[in-house]
Amino acid sequence: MAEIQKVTVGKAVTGRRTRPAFIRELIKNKVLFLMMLPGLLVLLVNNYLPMLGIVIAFKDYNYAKGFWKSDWVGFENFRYLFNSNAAFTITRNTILYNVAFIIIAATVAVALAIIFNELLNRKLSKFYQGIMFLPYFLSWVVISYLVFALLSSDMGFINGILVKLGKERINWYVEPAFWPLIIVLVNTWKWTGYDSIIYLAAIIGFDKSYYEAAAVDGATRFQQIKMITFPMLMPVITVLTLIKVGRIFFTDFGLFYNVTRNSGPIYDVTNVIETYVFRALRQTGDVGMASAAGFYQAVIGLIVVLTANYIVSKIDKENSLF
Amino acid sequence: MKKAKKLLCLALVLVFALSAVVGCSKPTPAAAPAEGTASAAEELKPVELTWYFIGNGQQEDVKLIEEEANKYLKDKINATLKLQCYAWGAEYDDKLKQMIASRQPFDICFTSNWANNYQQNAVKGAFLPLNELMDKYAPKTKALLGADFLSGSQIDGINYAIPANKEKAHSWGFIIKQDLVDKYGFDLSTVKKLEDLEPMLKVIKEKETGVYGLEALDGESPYKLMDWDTIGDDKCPGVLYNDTTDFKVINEFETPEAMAMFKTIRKFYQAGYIRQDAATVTDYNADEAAGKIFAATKSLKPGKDAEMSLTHGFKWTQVYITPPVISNRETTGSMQAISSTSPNPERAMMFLELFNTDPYLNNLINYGIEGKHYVKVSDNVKKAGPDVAKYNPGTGWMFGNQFLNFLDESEDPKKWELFEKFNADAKGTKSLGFVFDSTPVKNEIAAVQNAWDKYVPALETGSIDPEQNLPKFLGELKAAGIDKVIAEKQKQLDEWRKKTGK
Repeated sequence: MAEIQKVTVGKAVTGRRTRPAFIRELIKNKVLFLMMLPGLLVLLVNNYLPMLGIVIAFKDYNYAKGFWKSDWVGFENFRYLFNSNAAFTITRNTILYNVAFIIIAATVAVALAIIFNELLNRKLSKFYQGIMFLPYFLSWVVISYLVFALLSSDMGFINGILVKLGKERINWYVEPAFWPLIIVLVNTWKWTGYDSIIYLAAIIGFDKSYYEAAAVDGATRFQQIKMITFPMLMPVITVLTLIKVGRIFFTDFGLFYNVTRNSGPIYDVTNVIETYVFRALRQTGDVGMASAAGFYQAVIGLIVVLTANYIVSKIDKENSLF
Repeated sequence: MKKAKKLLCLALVLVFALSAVVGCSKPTPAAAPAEGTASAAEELKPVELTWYFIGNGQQEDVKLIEEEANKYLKDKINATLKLQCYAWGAEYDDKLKQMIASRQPFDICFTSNWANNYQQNAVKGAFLPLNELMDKYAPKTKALLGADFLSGSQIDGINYAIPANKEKAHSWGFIIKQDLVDKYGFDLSTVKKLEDLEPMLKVIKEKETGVYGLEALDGESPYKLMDWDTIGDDKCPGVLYNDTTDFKVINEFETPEAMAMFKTIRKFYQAGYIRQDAATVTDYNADEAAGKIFAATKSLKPGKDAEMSLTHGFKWTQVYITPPVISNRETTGSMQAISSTSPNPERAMMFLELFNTDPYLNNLINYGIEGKHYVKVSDNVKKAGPDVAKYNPGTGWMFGNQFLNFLDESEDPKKWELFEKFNADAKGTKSLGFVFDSTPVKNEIAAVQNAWDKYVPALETGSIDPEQNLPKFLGELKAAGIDKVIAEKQKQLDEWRKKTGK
């Protein structure tokens, strides 16, 4: 939901205020600010308060000694993240998959949104949107079974076709070669509808007079898309992409754990930070190490989002976040 | 107005942007400081005891059992009982990890070396030390268990849990579906090792559609027949040979035996005797319960086949392969611990004492209510009652003193004598009583675990070729720091031997 709201405001982010002006605004728009208050409170309680828990990442957490009295261990809890050659694999997988997801979200979803917008038959357009949006509501567990129905080596749909064609069955869950493609496909299938609706919402909000003027000047539909829709959509694309870049070190656990059925032989291409941490901690059950991983991800995420924003602001000040 | 809107927008954007970044750090469970034990000598005020244990999930009639137990417990220890069963596999483990980490108050929980890990929880202060409580409130249980169980489950001389009084030894072997044996006239006396099953598996594969010849699952595969004397947790290499004399901790995956075993399993897999997606099956009991398995590898004891036949409703028979040994697997294989968050640890201990010594209470929780869930045939023998489907946990080995359990009429009336004999015949493993403290190498173990998950489930189900992948696995173990783990195991084992003179 956060993203939808942000889209509508994304373009308006400019300028700085002096303090008195800020207070004046506060008084003038107290109703609006009051409306923001509950969300802000939830954010504080939900996201800022638990940040105190970060100290656990630097402690040898003992239940009996409790939160404050456990012994400090420095960076000991972080060691396992870099302890083996797994560190390279999981970092590479995490980043490469996310880059792929971001590119697809910014291209396929935008393209779809534009197509939806251009569809003259509104009813059909709504129908397609609905269909595309549906996977968004399915949990990864459900999706993992849909994928399993396709890929199961005994009774999978795809192997069934392969056998009919006289080909060998493929044991999908032990063949690493296919998984980068499968994961990207599945992720695209789940998220594209959602992303495209956000873009569509922005497109619908554009002032129709631009298009009318362009039509009067004899611009073709394609030219209208290129010269009006696209430039006006740019800020939205930037903001959404920036948010995703900020999460480049975070992955969808369900996608990489459930959809792959936690199958060992394909870890090389499916192991990401979350799954690595999960598997490591299911064994040791160490709260300190789990927090260390979360902390590490958050720090890297912050650095990445700051850098990305800096670069964007260098290129086009209007489109940067802050 | 426009300015105000912009400002508001900026604020909103900041809020959302921050939430995008901050929201990612998983909220760490904030913990309340551990409570000191409640004051002792209160004159038995009514209390509620919560008990978490593992099994086939919560039984339908569990409320009735609780009511019945509460009536009985009121006069004895003035406590009411709340039973909560979580399912095998990840559910019990995950639920308990969350509850322990969030310091939720509860009284008793099941713990072992294979679920809700005993050693990790104990050293982290999740369980109460029970030595004094046991002396004071459970002297009979203490006498009942004897030295093997009690010292075998100690960590540095402290008992953090009470073992169930059950078989002391294990023997790996096969559990085989009786009706298929009869149908094809297989001679099970010829089965002395895994390879001996091959001709039977071939027949099953050819003649029985929809039945998998051999069950091989992650953690419950024929690989278990290697029967290593494991040190520490199951999923961390570094073991002893059962007949070791020099007490040298070895990486079991470097041995030629392991390679040979994996090759055999691979051969069976390729011949189609093993389910093709075995490596990713997570529901351990589904195929067995549906009768879709001809043979499965199990940890056996007298009457394991009869116990399983009772749960599944069709007949199994068992074939021992490895000689019976007493290991830490048994002595720490099924225990009840008292949580350090328990508001009433004394009462919890009184309850456990009663539960381990009182046949009525023990059988109530094991089999339900007489005349409803079971019917008595004679003094110590019962059979299924009309409502057996609504309460049939089938986990006698977990619930305290198993020697109190009524026998089913289908079971061998000599079951408990056979148990005694089985216990007496078994030899202790060399590391019996040694508990490995994994804290000094927990970073390495976390990395080793990932390598294990990557290769072992696939190797032990035959899904990948061992000749190609076992060397790769060994390489990744090395990179993860297995040498350090093994050295630590060796060090602690040597110290332990010096201390105990073994």
